Amino acid sequence: MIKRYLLLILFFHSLLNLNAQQLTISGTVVAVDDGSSLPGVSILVKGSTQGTITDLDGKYSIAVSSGKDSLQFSYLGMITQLIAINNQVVINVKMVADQKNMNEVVVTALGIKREKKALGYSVQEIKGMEMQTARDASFINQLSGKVAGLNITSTTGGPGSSSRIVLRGVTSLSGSNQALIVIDGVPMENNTSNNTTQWGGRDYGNGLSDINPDDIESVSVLKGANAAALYGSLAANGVIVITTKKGTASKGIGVTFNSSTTVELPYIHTKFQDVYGAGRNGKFEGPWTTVNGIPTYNTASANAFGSWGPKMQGQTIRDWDGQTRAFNPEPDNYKSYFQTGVTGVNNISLQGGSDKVTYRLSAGNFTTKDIVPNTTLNRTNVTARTAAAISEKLSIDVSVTYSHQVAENRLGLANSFSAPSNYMMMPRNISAASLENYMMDASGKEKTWFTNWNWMTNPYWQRKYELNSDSRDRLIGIVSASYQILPRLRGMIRSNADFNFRRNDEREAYNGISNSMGSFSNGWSTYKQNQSDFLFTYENQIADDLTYVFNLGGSTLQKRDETTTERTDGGLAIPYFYSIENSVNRPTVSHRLTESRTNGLYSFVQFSYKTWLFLDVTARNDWSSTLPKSNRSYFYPSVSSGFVFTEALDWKQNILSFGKLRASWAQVGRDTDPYRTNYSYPAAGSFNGAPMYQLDPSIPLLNLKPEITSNVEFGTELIFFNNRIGIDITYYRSNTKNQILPASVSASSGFVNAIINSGEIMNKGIEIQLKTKPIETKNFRWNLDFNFAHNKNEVVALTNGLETYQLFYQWNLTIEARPGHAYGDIVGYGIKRDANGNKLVDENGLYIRDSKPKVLGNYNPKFTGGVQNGFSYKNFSMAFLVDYRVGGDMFSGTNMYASGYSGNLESTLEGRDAWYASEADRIAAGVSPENWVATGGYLADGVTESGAVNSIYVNPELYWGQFSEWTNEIHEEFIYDASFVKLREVTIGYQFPSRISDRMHLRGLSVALTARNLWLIYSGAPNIDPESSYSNGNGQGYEIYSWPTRRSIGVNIKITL
Amino acid sequence: MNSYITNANVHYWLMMNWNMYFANLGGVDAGKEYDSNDGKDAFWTEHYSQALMNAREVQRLTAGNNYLINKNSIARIWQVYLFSQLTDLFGDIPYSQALQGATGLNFTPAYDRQQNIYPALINELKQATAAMDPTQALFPTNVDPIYQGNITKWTNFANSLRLRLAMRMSVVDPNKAQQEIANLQPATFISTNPENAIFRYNGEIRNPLYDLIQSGQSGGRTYPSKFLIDKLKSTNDPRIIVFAQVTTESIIIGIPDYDGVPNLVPSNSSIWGNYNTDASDVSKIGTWFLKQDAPGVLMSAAEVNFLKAEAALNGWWSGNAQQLYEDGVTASIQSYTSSGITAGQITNYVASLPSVNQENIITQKWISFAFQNGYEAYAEYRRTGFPVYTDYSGNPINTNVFPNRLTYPPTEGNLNSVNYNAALANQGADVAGTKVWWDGN
Repeated sequence: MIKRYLLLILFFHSLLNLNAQQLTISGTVVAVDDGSSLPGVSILVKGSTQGTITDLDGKYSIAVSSGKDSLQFSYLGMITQLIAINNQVVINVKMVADQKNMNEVVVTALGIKREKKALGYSVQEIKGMEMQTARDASFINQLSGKVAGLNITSTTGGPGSSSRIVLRGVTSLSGSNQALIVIDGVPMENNTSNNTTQWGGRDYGNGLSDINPDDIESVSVLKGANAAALYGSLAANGVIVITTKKGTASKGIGVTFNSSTTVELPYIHTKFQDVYGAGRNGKFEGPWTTVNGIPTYNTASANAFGSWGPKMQGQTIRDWDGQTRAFNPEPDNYKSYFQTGVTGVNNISLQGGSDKVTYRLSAGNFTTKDIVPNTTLNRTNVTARTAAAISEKLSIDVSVTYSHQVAENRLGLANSFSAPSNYMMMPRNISAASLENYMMDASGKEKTWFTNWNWMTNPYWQRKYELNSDSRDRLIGIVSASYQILPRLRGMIRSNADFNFRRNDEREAYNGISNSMGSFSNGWSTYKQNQSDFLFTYENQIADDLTYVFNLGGSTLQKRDETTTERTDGGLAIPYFYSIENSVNRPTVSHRLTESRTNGLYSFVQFSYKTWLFLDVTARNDWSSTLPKSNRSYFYPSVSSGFVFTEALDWKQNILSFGKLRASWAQVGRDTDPYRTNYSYPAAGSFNGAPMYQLDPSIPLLNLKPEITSNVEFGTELIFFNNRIGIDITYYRSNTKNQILPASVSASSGFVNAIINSGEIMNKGIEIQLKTKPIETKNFRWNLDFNFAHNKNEVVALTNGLETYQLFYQWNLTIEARPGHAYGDIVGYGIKRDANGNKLVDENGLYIRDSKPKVLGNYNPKFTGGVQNGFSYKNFSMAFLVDYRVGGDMFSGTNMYASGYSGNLESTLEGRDAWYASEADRIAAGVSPENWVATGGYLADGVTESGAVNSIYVNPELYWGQFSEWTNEIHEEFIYDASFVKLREVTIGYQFPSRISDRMHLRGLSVALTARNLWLIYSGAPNIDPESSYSNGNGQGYEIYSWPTRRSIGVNIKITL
Repeated sequence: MNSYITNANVHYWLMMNWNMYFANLGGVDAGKEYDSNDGKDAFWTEHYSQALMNAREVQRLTAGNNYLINKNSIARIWQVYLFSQLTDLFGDIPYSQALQGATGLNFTPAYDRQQNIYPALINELKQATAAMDPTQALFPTNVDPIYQGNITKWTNFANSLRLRLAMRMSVVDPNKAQQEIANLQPATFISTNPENAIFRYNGEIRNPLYDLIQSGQSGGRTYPSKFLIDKLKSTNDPRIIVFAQVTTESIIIGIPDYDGVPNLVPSNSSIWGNYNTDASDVSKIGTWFLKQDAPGVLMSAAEVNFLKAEAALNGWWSGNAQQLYEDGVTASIQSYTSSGITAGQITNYVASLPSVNQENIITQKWISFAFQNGYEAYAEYRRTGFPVYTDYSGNPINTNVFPNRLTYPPTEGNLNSVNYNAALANQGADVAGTKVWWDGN
């Protein structure tokens, strides 16, 4: 296939270079500082229209007609050089970086490239290169820690899980808070298909992961409303603008082959105890009964979980599977559930072209076997892009991307009763081998260690028989044409289509414990999005030093989302035959269709005075179909300005080489989900063959208004010592009003809530980026970059009478938005305190619980950031990224179960021996528990209500048990500081010198060792990775039964032909 | 007409334990019969926003359309049934201003006094039955899950409900009760089991008891009570084979027997030491009830006979109290289709019944409601004090602990505070101990 393309391109290519001349000059262009060849340097014969560019090796050759005396060499970011020909036929040029001119070019809204110095707001750009060595199944995760103010969290559901992308804090109470993704000027569908709730589910990833990182040229992060104002309602949460690679004009075909192989290892944070096994009270009690003198384990016992039994010392027991074996710890039973995962990423790209036509073809494959056997993900991407200047005036750009992804056996998250919940609850003496060997009995029925709850599934059975699969096919096409209407007026039209087809199926195994009749379900969804837009640009000058660019644009965006799901009802009629048609009862079917459209018109003007004062004014009006007619039109303005004071003042000194101040103000609106402005009758299944519909218990707001965010931003960029130190500081403040939220109303009104426009959320913060080059010599360089972000969020107001807005609920633990607090309060039961703040203990030595739930923490971090180090010595390079999060709280359900319920954690060992000894003494003395003062056990830290320091020892089993949801439910014990420091990424690379690669007939060859998630250096929460979440919804701050982090180590090879 | 929505938590776990049909075998829930739970809040919310609101929506969509008058009337009768459940459980509730969130944007409806709601409900039933017209459209049979569109049966159900509501006022306002019953003398009622108001569960909507016990979730430790089993055993009631399964232990021993779990025994009591942790010595609930399609009984011929018997005993109904009482028992036993109880057993049992009095009528009514109609058993216990329950922890039943009503959802205090506080001023503190209006016992 690729060969055929190659031939086609060669043919195509040859047509474009016909103008052979007799007098030619040739040479090589290199960069002066490292001697590397520079492809794409433009070479112009002075005083003519003749020109060419260098090829991938920096080589060029140009025909020069007589009478022309010099060549002009120019390259972005380098000083343009004019070189006299003087009858030379070989002219080699060394280009020098333009230190003074800090005109870094970045991609801004609508894909417009602008000089960074002209911007009045903060933009941070990441080069695609940074994402093509150390890999993650979803490239966006690789931005973590690299951009100030960008917070990325992903679930632990395995490769291809979804990522939550939040810029500068939460702005919407009930709507999505995730940033908009724009790819080559087109908003990209990034719906998360994670159906996980606290009660379990799976994460099917989000649309963003369809992008092949090898196709990415750069990622621009437009953090505030100011940068994003031109995207209108879609962009209230900021925008991530992805620019994909185009072919670059060069001679010959550039072929790049990039291949990575990594291994993934489970990074288990749980510290298990391996001293005590199954039982209760330190004895063979609870699940054990003694049969013929041998303790025999009864899986149906309500106490057949946890490790509160005797010490494991090789006693003879009859185990859960009926086998007689020694009672010994199984320290590796959790670890041995996992395997070493393997990921292979291969990508090939071909590119080239002339100054008229460029092309790029790329094909990539990503295959991974997760650390859990049978869980795999395979993704293939193919992209073709060509840009052509059809005439002097007309140019077109066409790209098509297809991606196909198949995932097998996505992991169950949260309370899915998959491996993490099994091992947190399972007695420490149960071996992996017994679970695997006895997952079913002779009749094919599932067997497991705990059957009192009929939803705890044998983890080996689960991964072998409780199967699911899903696939996603996606086709994105973009066509744009640009026409120079008048010398100063340019027009662009663009149209795109994004088709996304997903399917998934899932089976509950026949003869399984959770549903012995089995079930089968499947679903399809098709998502279609079309956007068409246009943009006119007119450039002129008012006076000599005052120029302006006027733009007028418009867009229409249509979305259509259709989902069908089917599920068998009442089990499978024929055992083991997993088909909808095999349903015992009529299968349940649901069908859902939503459509929406947003039209926008926008205009913006950029004024520049000399090279140091810039002013942008933007205006946009949107019309959204999700809002009522009367309010569907809404307007957003923005103003921003940049002032380069070092140039204005003609500041010529070496300490401060560049200085700029920025200020901006913007307003953006946000519409809402479709179908919220009228009464509806959602389908409610069927009964006796009659479909049922019922009134939606939510009162719509007939005159719903959009949410409005107002944002101000100030900043400065300073560069010292000729680029050795650069600092960028931004302060921002945004207020989002008219929050669209369902406010609870008395159910006696016939409704549960009413949609209202009320409430306000404020975010203010500071972002600092510091770039330094501590050492820069001919052979050795050290780059050290820091970024830091602090965001303070406050729910300024909800609505009258509404004291809280609940985001999440489980077992009396809630995550809430409360007025006067930051969004994301964690509310639950705490331990009662005395006036001095001491914990209060009752007469039994156990804690007294507060009578009412209270705020125990908040999930918002105090600050986040990262430190990037890059070293290079000759051809060696090394980079590592440390990222951190300070502050913010979380509730850990894993810790609650593994301590409060099961006593499986090392932290539950304290006091056990002493308590059991005390009990033995008591029994020997023949004293009843009421009349006995324990001589040892767990001593709760606290005081009695009379103020005396607690001196009553309790059974550690009771001590830990008091916190759990079954008993006294004190959540406070499991609220942790979610701070962490992680060694996120390490890369060690070697670029082969050209004398070696040339000998191999290669243009370039480099190898790198890479690692991700290598080391959790610091964690505020024990036994888990504090970044673990199961959902990317607004109810963050709650962890339960997370899978281990995947630690990956690999090798990357990049070959350029 | 889709919504026979009952919150399974309230229906089964509150009502069935409060009425001593069920008990928990040891464990954390043992002895906590009278603890309330979150289910009651969901019951209030779902009744208003789903069941009632949809019944009201049917009325709105059919209003003024004579062709659809029968649908309109049936929705009204259904709405009365739902409101009567709510007021019996909570006392004063929003009634006249309720369900007007959409039509009047009234999010804070006033509470009506129960003594005003009862006459209004009875009046509503009178008007709804009078408006029905057999010449107009009927509900298609598969759309009306209770009477398949049969308006004669709906009329009989409405009249039976009037009888129930009238009898409920017997203690607090005997004159009113007698008068309303006198009005019903010429009416027709649910008189045979096939006419019973039954929600016919099927595989699509399963009987919640099946889900809760058969599928073994939260009901995993729930068994028929000792109080119920002992009552049935001591009277040789043939229904015991319907209500309970013989214990596993008794099968092994070879003398099949039934045994129940005692109520109100705290989890730390030594009494639990007499019971096997694997429940082999107690009966499970009878398989008759553990089916996906076990019927949900709203009102039965047996109940109508018991109501009439009690009215006759008071001299408010022209009929033979003893005969009506015996007819009630017979109808109850016969309602368990294919139970295996023979006609001879029924005759013998009826012949052995103690003669009619209020306690015997209500006790029989209580047995007839077992595992099917906890709401009614709970209301009738509060009205009459029968049957006299036993506290197996050895203490007398603590009337201070017994809940006389459900407390309002706490959200009412925030979201509808003015009216909520006015209701408390009328009715008394929002605690379980406060009695509802008709509870003069």
